[in-house]
Amino acid sequence: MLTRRGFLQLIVGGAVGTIFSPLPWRMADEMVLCTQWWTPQGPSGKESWDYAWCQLGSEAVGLKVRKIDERIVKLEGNPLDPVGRGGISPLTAASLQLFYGPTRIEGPKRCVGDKGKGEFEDIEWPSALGTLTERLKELRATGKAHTVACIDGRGRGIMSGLIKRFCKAYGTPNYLQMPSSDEATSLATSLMQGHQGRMGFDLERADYILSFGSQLFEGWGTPVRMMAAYRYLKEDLLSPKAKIVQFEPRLSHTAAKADEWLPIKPGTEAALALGLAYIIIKEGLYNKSFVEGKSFGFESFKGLVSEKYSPEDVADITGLEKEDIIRIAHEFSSAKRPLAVWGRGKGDIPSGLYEVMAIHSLNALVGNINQNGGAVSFKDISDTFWGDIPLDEVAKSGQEIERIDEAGTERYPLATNLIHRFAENVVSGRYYPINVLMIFEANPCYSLPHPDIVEKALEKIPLVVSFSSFIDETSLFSDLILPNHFYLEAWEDVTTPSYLQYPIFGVSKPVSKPLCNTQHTGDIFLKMAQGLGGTVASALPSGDFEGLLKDVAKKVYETGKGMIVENAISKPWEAKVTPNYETFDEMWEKLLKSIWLNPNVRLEGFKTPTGKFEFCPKKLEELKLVALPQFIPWEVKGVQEDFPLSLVPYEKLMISNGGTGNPPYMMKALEDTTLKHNDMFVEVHPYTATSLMISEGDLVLLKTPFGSAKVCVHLYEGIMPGIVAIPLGLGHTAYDEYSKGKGINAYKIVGISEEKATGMATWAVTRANLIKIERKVSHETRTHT
Amino acid sequence: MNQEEKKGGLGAFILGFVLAFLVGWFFFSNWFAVPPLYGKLEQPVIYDHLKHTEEAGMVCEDCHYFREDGTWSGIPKVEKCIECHEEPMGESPEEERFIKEYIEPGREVPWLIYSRQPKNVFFSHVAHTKLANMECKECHGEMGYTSKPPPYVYSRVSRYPQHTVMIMEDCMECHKKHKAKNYCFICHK
Repeated sequence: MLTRRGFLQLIVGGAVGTIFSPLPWRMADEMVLCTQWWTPQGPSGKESWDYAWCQLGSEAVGLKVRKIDERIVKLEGNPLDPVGRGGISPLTAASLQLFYGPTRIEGPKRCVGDKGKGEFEDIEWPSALGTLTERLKELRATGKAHTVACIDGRGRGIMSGLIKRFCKAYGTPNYLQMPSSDEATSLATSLMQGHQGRMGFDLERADYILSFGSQLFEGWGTPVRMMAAYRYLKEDLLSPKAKIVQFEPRLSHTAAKADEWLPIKPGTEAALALGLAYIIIKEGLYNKSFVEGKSFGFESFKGLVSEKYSPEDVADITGLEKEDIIRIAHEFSSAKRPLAVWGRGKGDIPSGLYEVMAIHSLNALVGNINQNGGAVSFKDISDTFWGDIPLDEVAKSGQEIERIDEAGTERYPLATNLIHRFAENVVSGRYYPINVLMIFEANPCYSLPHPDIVEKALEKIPLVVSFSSFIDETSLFSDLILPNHFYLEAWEDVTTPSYLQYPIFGVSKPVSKPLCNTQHTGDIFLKMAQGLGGTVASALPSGDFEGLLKDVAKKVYETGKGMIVENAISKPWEAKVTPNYETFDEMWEKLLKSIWLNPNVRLEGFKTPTGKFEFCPKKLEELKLVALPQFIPWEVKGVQEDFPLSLVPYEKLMISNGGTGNPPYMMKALEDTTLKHNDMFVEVHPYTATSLMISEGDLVLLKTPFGSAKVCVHLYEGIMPGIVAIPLGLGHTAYDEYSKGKGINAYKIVGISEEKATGMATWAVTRANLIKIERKVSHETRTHT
Repeated sequence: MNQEEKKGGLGAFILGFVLAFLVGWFFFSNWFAVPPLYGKLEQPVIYDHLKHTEEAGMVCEDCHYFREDGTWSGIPKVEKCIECHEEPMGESPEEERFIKEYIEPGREVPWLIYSRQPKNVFFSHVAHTKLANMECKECHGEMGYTSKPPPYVYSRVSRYPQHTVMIMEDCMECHKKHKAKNYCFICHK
């Protein structure tokens, strides 16, 4: 019989026996092996390199793509890329997370139930395309072709040209683009210079740069080019090649990198430009040969400036010191190649026409137009590729109908695109209804002011088609989703990016098989055109987008100019190039690995009615509008007493704002003073905060006449008192857990101000107020996500 | 306490000791490799190395080689097999099954790797075969002369293979013996 002692001895014996057996060592080894799963290891396989181009978010980066078997594991800059010189921007580097991420739409989908709920069913491509093509056919046949609208978020290159041409041949005037400063820029260029095409800034050869609110090193233009330009200009810190002066209400990273930061009240850039012009004109510091020989309307311009924009007046308007204005005017005009640039934020926050004209007048005064180191105009292949469009009766009558956004009408004769009016007009039903809306590379339900009105408009339109590759706010409100390839899976055209000073052309070929059941939107438009037949089919090439790219490349080849980069060029903007290919096939082969460029090309002379640079554009006179650059304060809604502060939105390099979501890498790179856990911070000067009894970290209600939102406050001395700065691009309600619910969407509370003469709208400044809700939110007590 | 009780205690002790000793050595050692701790699997395809080397005249490097960049190619993908086996080359039913299940649908064979290491171990073949001049069989056995692959014995707890796997101790011993470095970062990056 086992006694208690015996039992205990049995156990002890067992324990000792276990120790003398392999069991403990075996189990220890097993535990060790079990727990060795924490290191992510890439796939092992055959390594290969390929070439592509990334153009997410107005970027243009040449890439070397590293693959292990079929998996893309890394994107690196291509040293042959003349724009970036081997650099790569954060969004491009992180784009693999978007590519392989969980928010990819796997195939075509149709909405079931109410829009906005995100309930979709999978459908097949033939049925999806069939639905769309049939509807387009039907509308065309019943005289309703004009009720089809397209929103193009890319706004440049061959793809945009394709969509625009499709719309014109189909018979609808409603080709809309997402807002940016490009609209005002091309209008100003065409009015003052008579040039259609691109405006580039030869910053690398300038020696004095005035930036009017442009976040030069935070995403303006092409980020990789700007960083390379900064490295180049500041190579020798003891004698840098250029002085950069930044005018903006906030000490952004750009202002911190610039040589001088002069804070000005938001929206007063035009007044400042004209104030500088005052000094330059009064003291005779302007370029006499340009002004007297090549310009028109100088006397009227001089009259206006002397009357209204003296340094005292401008100091009042902008908040600067009179002495600074005078000094900068002296420095600017005495520099060898002074250059004034514009394009608020990354260029996505629109400018008004008169503002751009005022700033560009400075370039004219110093004669730095179409010169080395100046503002240069030229045509890109996407401007010259498309020929005449065959138009049938339906198409012709479509062009006669007024656009749904009222651009080009009698009221707004100058504007080509007023998308902020689009949603309002659809909801109010003031004009004709829209039956089909196609949205490409844009997210208007997120990145347009008053997104709630855009949502209402999309609910009203019976067929909304989104080509988005991701579940974003707009695809949630779509009836049909026809997901586009991601750029790594598709043939893409590479054309001159914003503000580059010479034309480039390239093709990005697919470097991966499509991961999902997606189709190239270019192919879809080409197929639809063939399906519609008649002049629509003959307006567009038959075949696929790759074939179209070959045609474009042929046209570039036939110019007999330019060169394909085979060795890295250290100063591409001044390179002298001749074609280094004999046959077209040779050029195409080289094009698949590199890019074609043609520096030192610019439009000669001015094509205005007077043949000169027009300070007072004759075209504006004809339209009975004020024909001079001037400062018109933006009309902002709201009463000073209720909303004593000004809300200024700003953009960040680490936040992708617009048609592309923000990858997790970039979200994690945001400072704690911008986003901490899910709380977003607005920047406020300590003086302002004290007067409102707000301290660092407090949760406040940010109120504008358009809405309110809860945000945290960060006290920052690098911002003018009375101003609240809010980052754009956060507060998503779609995409994945890394972006959803982080911060608030600033577009919901900013307000639109329209420029009276043109109708162009901006949201650069909104009246606001901050109301304290609770004392400093303690982030320490929350667990880290 | 009296003598009898004490003796009873000792007996129980010895009984416990022996039981635990035998259980430990039988169920948990490498020699017997029986359940519950161990499981045994066969490879998805009974690949006959001997037939390929002796009859077909192939050499190891035809399938297992260093790529240009020095990485080890490992076990070949099914596209290598397709080079010869698009049509059946012999009469073995195993080959027919292989063609039907893997070659025709273009499916990769989910081979079980006897020498699989945890994800945090970075093993370099070139360091061992070229720099240390080791023979393949020193770690992998005479695989090239087998008519059928050995069974894959694995531990149900950690899911790692048992017979030919090497644990860190084995690597470190050999490194010590041959005066190769034993720093952490040599194998764990």
